[in-house]
Amino acid sequence: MKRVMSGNETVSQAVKLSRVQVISAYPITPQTSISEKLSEICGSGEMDAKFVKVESEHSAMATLIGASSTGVRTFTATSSQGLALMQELLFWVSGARLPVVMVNVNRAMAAPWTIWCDQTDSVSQRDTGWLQFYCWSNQEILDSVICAFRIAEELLIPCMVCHDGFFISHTHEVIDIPEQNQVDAFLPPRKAEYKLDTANPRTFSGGTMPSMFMEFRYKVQAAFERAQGVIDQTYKQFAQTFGRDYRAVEPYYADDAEILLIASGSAASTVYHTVRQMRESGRKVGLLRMRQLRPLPVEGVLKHLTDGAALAVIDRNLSPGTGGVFAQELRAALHRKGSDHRVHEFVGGLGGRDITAADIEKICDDLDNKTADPAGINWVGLNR
Amino acid sequence: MPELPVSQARMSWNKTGSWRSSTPGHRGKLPPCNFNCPAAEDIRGYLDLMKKGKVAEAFELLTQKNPLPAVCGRVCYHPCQTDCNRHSFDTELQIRSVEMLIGDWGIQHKRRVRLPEIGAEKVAVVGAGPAGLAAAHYLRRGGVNVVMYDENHHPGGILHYGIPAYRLDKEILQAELKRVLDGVDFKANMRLGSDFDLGTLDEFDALFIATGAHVSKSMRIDGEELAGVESGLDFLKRVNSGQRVRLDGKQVVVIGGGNTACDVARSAYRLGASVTVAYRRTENEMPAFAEEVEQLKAEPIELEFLVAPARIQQETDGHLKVTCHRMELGEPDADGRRRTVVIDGADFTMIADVVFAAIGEDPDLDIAPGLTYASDGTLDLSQIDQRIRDKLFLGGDILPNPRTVPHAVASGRIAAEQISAFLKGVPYERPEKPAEMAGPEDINFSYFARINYAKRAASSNGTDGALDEAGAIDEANRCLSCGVCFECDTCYNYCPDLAIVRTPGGYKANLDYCKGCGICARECPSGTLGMKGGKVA
Repeated sequence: MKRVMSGNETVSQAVKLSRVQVISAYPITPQTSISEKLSEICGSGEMDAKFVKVESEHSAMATLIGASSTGVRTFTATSSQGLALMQELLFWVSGARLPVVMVNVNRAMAAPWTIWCDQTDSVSQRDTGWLQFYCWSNQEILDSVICAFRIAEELLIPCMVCHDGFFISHTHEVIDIPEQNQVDAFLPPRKAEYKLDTANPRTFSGGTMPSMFMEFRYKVQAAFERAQGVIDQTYKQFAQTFGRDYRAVEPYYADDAEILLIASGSAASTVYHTVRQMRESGRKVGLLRMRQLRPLPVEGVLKHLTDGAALAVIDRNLSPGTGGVFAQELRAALHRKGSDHRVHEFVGGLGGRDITAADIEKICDDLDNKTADPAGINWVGLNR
Repeated sequence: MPELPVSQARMSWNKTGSWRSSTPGHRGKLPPCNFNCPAAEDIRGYLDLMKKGKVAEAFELLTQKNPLPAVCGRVCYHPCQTDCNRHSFDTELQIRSVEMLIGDWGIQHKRRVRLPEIGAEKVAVVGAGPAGLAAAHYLRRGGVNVVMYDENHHPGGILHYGIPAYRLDKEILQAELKRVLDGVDFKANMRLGSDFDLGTLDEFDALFIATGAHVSKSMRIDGEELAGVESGLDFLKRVNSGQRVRLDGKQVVVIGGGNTACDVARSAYRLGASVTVAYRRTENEMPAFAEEVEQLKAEPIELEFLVAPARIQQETDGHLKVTCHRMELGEPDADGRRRTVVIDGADFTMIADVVFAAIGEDPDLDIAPGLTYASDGTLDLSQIDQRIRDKLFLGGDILPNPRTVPHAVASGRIAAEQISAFLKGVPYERPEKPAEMAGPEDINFSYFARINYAKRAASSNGTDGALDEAGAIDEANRCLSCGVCFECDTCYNYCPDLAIVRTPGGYKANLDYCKGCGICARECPSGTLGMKGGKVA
């Protein structure tokens, strides 16, 4: 069934199709229309789930910790300051191995006050033990949320599905809504090995001595190391059921590219169109679209690297004092893999500023002319 | 090791409660109204029913302990209000007004007690004052055949013959007594000791004697025997019997400072006399209830304090010359009351047509030959025939009880309970009274709103302190329910461990989950819940 929907409305469809049982969320722009729609369809009975009203994002996540511990499927959505308010509980969720799924609609962190898009909110949570997915279309949001539940429940690792505030959240596109029975077949009800049960009480995440704590952390790390395999397997089965194929890293004109642009989210779609235009004029540029930050899909990147290709990572986020997070992560991962590719860092589009086709052509020019700084931040569209 | 940090053993051995060092429970404190009520009424209980508009249920509850609510709403000195915790918050609850409304409601709605069939036991009650009335009523409610004797024509004793009509309307009294004596065989004009004696009551299985205290104490001064020098109580009895007593334009001196003196003075004033009350101590020492003193002072009646009569002489014109000492207060005596000392050379005289002595009353010992006081103030019954003595119970003012209507009612009700136990041949166990009452420190005033009582006083129907039904319900709604759960759900809502569970009529803590944090007790608005120390496994 095809429908025209905004990115946020697509999330609600995915949550409904995934038969989530407990939802708790607190409104924040640009996420609000997700929780609004979900509360409506919970209230009307269209969706058989409990929507728990709370007074903050912190409480929303705390509610889901309790709910998820009983073995049910849970969901929340937030943005920016709301995500930051949840932070201590993000660690708790992953440490307790609760397969919570959250949509984060990317919005810059204040101050100064802003409601516009960048990814600093979610990338700065990279150490909290959540898988992170970045979408560039409404259809991909729907598919990613459904997949996220399966991946989270298999790994017992929570999943964050991100899309760019306004650029995607409030943009309408045609999406293909799968049939409920197809989704049910792909995503069966959650089966929790351990759950809160008054008839069979257990202590969950109780005080743990130094003799055991590190082992639990090791198990989380081990789950992340298994994660890419589980994700790839999930995509394969998703493609078999729904006919849409996803990969962790999606290449476009990558294999013979002399300049390889690496981007995520809505910026990647601008890069995509710019690459197509530049190819028409004969320039050998390509795109690697990063669909994950955690686990970082370094194998997916390596697969498309050719000797001598210039790498340019475009980050719509900033870790002050270092630079763009995707660039740093990739540089470290490539180094670990023994690659000697130099990663050029480009930071732009912060606080909702557009990253335009002209910006992208200029990045390519700077790489060609060797005017790009190979060792520091190259600012995109900055007025100094 | 499991994938996630979860215990592998069942943890049912280790409930939340195993951390606990104290547990919530009822403090068992009484509301001040209940604590102070001499008649042991469940005042908080009937206020709660009134809150819900359940007047009939309130009437039933009240009359389980006191069959005379319309009377007591008017004449009781309402110690229930003294320590009301509203006192320090806005103003104390007008409990006596609510009691009066409930009593009047019972009269208006012609409430009758559903009486059981009369059984085999027969009990004689002598004296139809508040103690005898209560005893007869509760015995009859228990199925006992009750025969009641009184020397007067009307039942009621002091209620009818002592308390003036302006304080207790005779129609209200008679209507209430009709219900109270329903099913009781009342024999009027039968005076124990002259019309019959204890021996003639031998046919009864038990006897209850509550003949009261109505013999005026002697002033022990010269001239006490003169015409025009009378017992104040006898005067009240004549007035209350409907006799025409003329005092127009007369000078009346009332000797005494108790409730009788107040009633005598105010009654004489209403009959047209100019009245002076002479009391040997000061206003602070007056034994009359404070409210009666206030009412006395509000009328154009002269008050002479620190004055004691020395002698009374008849003038040639027929007037009485009352020579008085001026007194001063000395050291406290054994009772703690300050002694009075005569000031030498300060005597003065008052001229009167009538002098009423109202310095106290003694029980009438002529009811049985050989009756005397024992050293502890009780009656020495040793001269009474053993057969009678073994089934004899005493109550009311004949005993050294505080001489108030509610004390007499309580005495009669308890006697009924004792007699019932006696008839069944089982020991009587008096219910224990909790040691403490809930004070202002126990109440969480933040949960309550201040209510301006003065605004609602307008709803009064004209009788002193009277409220209509809506007014009484409003008043009951001011009740703080001190020390008693009123099912507000505060503990239930606040408990972080969901350990408070609702039970019929209240809550209890599920000690499997209570970790003893005490939030329930801290938040309890009425001071019902408290924490008890000690580790409880």
